[in-house]
Amino acid sequence: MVIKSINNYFTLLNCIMKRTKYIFLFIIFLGFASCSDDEDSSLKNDFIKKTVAPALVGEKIEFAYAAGTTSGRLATVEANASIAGAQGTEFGVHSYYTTRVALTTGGVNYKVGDDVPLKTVKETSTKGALSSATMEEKVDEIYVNPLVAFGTNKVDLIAATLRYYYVVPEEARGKEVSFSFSAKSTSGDNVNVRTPSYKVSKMEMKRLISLTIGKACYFSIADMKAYTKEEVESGNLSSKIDFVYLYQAKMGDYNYGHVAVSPGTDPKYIATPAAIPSSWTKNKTRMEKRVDVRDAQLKGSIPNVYIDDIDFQTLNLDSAVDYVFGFQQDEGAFMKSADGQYAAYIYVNSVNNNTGLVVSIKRYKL
Amino acid sequence: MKNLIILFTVILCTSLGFNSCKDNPIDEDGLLITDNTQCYISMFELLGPDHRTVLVGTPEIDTVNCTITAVAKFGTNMAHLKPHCSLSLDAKIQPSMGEWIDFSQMKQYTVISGNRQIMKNYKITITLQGQ
Repeated sequence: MVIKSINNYFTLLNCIMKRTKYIFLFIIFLGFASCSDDEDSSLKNDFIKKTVAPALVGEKIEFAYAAGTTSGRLATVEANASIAGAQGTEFGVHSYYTTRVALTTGGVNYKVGDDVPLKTVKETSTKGALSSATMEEKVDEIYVNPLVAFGTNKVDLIAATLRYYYVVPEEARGKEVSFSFSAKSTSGDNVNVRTPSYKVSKMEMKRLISLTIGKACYFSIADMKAYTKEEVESGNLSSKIDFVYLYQAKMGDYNYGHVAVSPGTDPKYIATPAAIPSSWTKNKTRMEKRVDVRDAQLKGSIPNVYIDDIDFQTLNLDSAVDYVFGFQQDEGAFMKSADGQYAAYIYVNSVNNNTGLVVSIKRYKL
Repeated sequence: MKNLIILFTVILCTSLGFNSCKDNPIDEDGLLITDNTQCYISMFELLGPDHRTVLVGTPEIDTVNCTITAVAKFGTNMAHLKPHCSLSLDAKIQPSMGEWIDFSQMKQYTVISGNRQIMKNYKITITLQGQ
């Protein structure tokens, strides 16, 4: 029985050995077949998402979509969003190349290494979720050959990287959005690529709100707005005031500076008691200062550090007090409104000891 | 000859094995126990939620009476502070620092020397400016 099994094994092995060359040929064929789709197409495309910040309603998400053909020219490019973008959603009409020499064009001076715009799109349109771009027929040769001087020659536009700007609409808040890019060449080829889904933040943001000393210093997180004392009283808004901004270099012998106090805080922390009339609602807004949270969206520039939904979802201010002393530029404070409706981060864009603060806010409805 | 080489190799490996286990004891926290008998706090720091010091000036560390006194800035939230310290060589402290803690009352920490034979209880008192 054992000998019979061994014989069967050797017979099978012999059979496989004889057919080895056919197996190899089959594997090579499969290899070619698996690559054939891409190799056969004369039109290629790809994209990168340039925006790394959280997707906020009203803000732009920028993509760079590239397409190129070896047959004919680029004819049209399209982007189809899963949720129609807000006004301003469109393809840009320029592509960019990195200049190797200092250059002046269109009245702008470009240094070595700067990105110089070149018009590669004849016209763009956005209807609903679909944005389209009709490509130029010719482009400056430097775009496809950096060794040629700018303005020397025009060549057929066979490849281009376009910017696509998607303005996040209100209806996308808290949802996911994805995009499908496609391109067509003059020879009739089509190509497309689909992006992953991107989560749109639930946060809201408002930038550059002036808090003025003794004037517009009553801040409502719900309204994302600073009021004057007269506005609060005439509008009976004291229940909406989450903190009062005060400035005084010292309070007695101690440092005070630019301060946010909630209306309901211990009076010993209020440098000017008359700022909060006794008849007002005394909200106790929990807050905690941060020095190193320099949100790029609130700041308006690098570093690429961002507060996102999760920071508010996990925010714990149970041990926090209801005042913050000594704000400096680029500092901020996490807050939770007394009614538990909102979590917020107040970022200090600039400080002026004579006029007050300019702040920006990200707010999350809890 | 071959047997001699094998015997020599076995003896060598065995002795190396014994040597590798020699005298490197660790304590219940996985820290090395040494011969060091020093037992004191050399530096103390107290951070607020913004990870900046809340202290005014330098804390007074009395290594004889085992006390630390310091003053926190006006307005400091005493209920939410994170202490840090430096210790003598190989020493450890219990409970561990680096956690958020309420310093509105005096706190006590125990410093344990590197040989784990000497213990000193430090009392840390923080007073708030304006109180």
